[in-house]
Amino acid sequence: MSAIDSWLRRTLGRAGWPIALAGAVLMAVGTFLSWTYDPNIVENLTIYLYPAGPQVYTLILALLAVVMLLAVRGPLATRPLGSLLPGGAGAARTAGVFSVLVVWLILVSIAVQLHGFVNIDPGGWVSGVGALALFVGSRALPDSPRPVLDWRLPSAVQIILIAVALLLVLTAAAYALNRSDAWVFIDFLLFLAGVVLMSRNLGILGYLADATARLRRVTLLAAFIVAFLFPFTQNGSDANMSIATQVLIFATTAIGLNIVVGLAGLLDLGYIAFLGSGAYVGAILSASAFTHIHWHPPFLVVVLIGACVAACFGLIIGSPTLRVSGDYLAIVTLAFGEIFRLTMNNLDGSNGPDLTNGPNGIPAIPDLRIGGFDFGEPHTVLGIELGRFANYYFLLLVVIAFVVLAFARMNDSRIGRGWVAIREDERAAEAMGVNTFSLKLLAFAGGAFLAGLAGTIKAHHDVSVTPDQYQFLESAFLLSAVVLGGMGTVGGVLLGAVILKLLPEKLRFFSDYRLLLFGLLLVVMMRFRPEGMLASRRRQLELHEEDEELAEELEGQVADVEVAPR
Amino acid sequence: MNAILEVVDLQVAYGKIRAVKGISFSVGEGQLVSLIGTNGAGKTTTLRTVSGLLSPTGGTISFQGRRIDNMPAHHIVELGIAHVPEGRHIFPRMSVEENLLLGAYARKGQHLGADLARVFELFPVLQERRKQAAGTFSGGEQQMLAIGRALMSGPRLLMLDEPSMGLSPIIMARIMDTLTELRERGTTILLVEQNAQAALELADYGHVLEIGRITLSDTGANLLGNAEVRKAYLGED
Ligand SMILES: Nc1ncnc2c1ncn2[C@@H]1O[C@H](COP(=O)(O)OP(=O)(O)O)[C@@H](O)[C@H]1O
Ligand SMILES: [Mg+2]
Repeated sequence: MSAIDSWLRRTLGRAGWPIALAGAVLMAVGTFLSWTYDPNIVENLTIYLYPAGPQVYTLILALLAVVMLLAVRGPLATRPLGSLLPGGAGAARTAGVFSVLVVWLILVSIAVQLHGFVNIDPGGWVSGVGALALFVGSRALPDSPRPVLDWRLPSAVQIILIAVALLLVLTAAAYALNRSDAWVFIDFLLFLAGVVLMSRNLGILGYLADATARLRRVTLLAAFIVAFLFPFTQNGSDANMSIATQVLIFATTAIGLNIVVGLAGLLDLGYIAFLGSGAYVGAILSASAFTHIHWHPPFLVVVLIGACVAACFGLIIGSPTLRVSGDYLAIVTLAFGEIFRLTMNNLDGSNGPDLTNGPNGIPAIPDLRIGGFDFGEPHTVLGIELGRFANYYFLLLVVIAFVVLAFARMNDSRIGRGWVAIREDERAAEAMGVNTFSLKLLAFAGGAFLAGLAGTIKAHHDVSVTPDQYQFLESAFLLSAVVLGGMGTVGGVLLGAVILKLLPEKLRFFSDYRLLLFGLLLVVMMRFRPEGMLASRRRQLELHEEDEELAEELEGQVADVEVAPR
Repeated sequence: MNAILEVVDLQVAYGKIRAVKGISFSVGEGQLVSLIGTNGAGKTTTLRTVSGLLSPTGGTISFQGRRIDNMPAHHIVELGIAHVPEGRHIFPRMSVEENLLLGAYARKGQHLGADLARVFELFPVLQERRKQAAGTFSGGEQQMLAIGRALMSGPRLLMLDEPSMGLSPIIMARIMDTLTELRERGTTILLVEQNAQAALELADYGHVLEIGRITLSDTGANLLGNAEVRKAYLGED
């Protein structure tokens, strides 16, 4: 990329800036024209002077690019804009890249769906060419270092900023969920990525990250409030709430896995089996007509049993393998995952006891009932209908809140310091008196406990439990969520879970290529940001050892943020 | 003088490889005892076994009259044996302060301010750079940190595995001075070294280890004067 940049800089010289500006203006103009004749694809892009969906994304990117370019050069560059937006050139470059992606994805989708580029109207071409010009021109702009904003705002204002950012996230999530067209959905995600990266170029993202790190509790609370508000934005629509609830189940499980992988540094490849253990316990002890055990304790007891059964499996697998080196654990957990699935498949009475109905699983699990509250019944709050899924959603939110609190306490405790030491140098940790075996076992069984707990809820939510829900691929997805989002941080794992669960739900269209897409995504992440999207400071240091600048920048902060106060 | 550490007929093996083949020695309260020997003699194996990081195949180890062979490592640290491992093994991505606090891991919930101050007084460099990631340090500074970290556990016996390894003579002299100072303050020290001259100069008592067996035991001064030792370990003929 940098070779192309310097070549462009040499050939275009100072012509880069006007080219980019002209491109951005063209892009904007194009959005007011028709892009194609068919109003039924990629939302309706046929109306003149009325940009819709992808055209709006294009228009916003174009306007942002214009502002950034004006901050780099021209009459406004010195006084008002230039000093306000010191990272303008970098942001303009980012706008260039994402403009091309956002515009051309739609043009390509029109060509694919209507069989040929001839079906693109002039407006599409205008914006398409404009985006390319913006891209090429912005590449030739001189470099500007990413600024570090040192606004000294009172913390009340910072809290408001964080709240606004979270509300934007909520709005974007609700908007994205309502995109029914897969192309537009991806286009919106690209647009979103572009805007986020631009704010990073401008130093805004860094500032927000620092503010959230400083005001961690407030941020956490605000995030929960936002998540709590989400069902109220859905007007009783079950489709999105069902997805959101699945995301939360997945997230709870991923947080559990994060304790195992992210904090204790243990590779668990069969984690889904612990979720499965909980789910089967929940199903077998439920009032379903298909179970052969006719004991139906109250749900709180079932949750405890499910979690404990999973934790016991964790202890049984963990205690022999955690004494030896880490590679064995990966192999043994991989095997355990398969053994679990096969066992559930075969406990149908033909060999051994009839517990699970074999491959048919246990269907018709009734809805949860805690106290007098029936989770199957919709409720109306403040005139807004909250359906069955919303009930489960709130329950899961409570579970996650509880887990996040426990997690934070653990991480700041002596146990948390022991885990860090084990990740850093297990031998040395042992010599310092860290009981490495017990701490690893605690993480492993604790993670299993959480998965079991989530599983009992999942069984009721899903209505049926079958062995093929718990195959290796699911473990791989969970692990990807942890790695993608950011190992060791709750926020990162939640983000990873949202992305990995949401994408497949919205992209049924691409079902055959879903795995390919994930593979690509992971490869790209590992190349450019191996610490995950929301990484802990320490993890960033661990993965960028060669990066001296980052090391210096982070040094003070690592010590400040993570040394436990005594 | 009563022995704080008593090793009797200790044997340790890695699978079929017998690394330590029945050695006995003791360390008295307040003494500095050196174990010297060439590479592969079994020095590290001996220390790791005393710390509980390896299990002996035979013999006994007693600390303050209590059997500690087959005790898990974290109990042994709690009893008061601190181990500065060979190659230092500091936690590279933790700050100096975090490293030191981890050294005190075995002392649950005690106030460590005074202990931190004592380490900083011993090694002022560490105080200057207390927030810095330890991996960015020079070898000598890392060794100081490793010693400081071990001291944070408030040990009754401090064991050091080749602290002079890879250090320049000046830094090495500085480390040895620190050991002298620690001993004068009453810390009991078991020092393992290939560098026989430095180790024996300091030692009240020394043992020569050769392929898993102790071949010579005497006071430090006598060993330094011993012709065989001078020939084998100090390069004289
Ligand atoms: N992890 C190990 N596995 C097998 N053999 C080992 C291991 N560590 C050390 N040894 C062997 O044990 C003997 C003593 O080693 P060591 O205690 O490290 O000696 P020293 O510290 O005196 O250099 C050597 O022969 C060495 O090869
Ligand atoms: Mg050695």
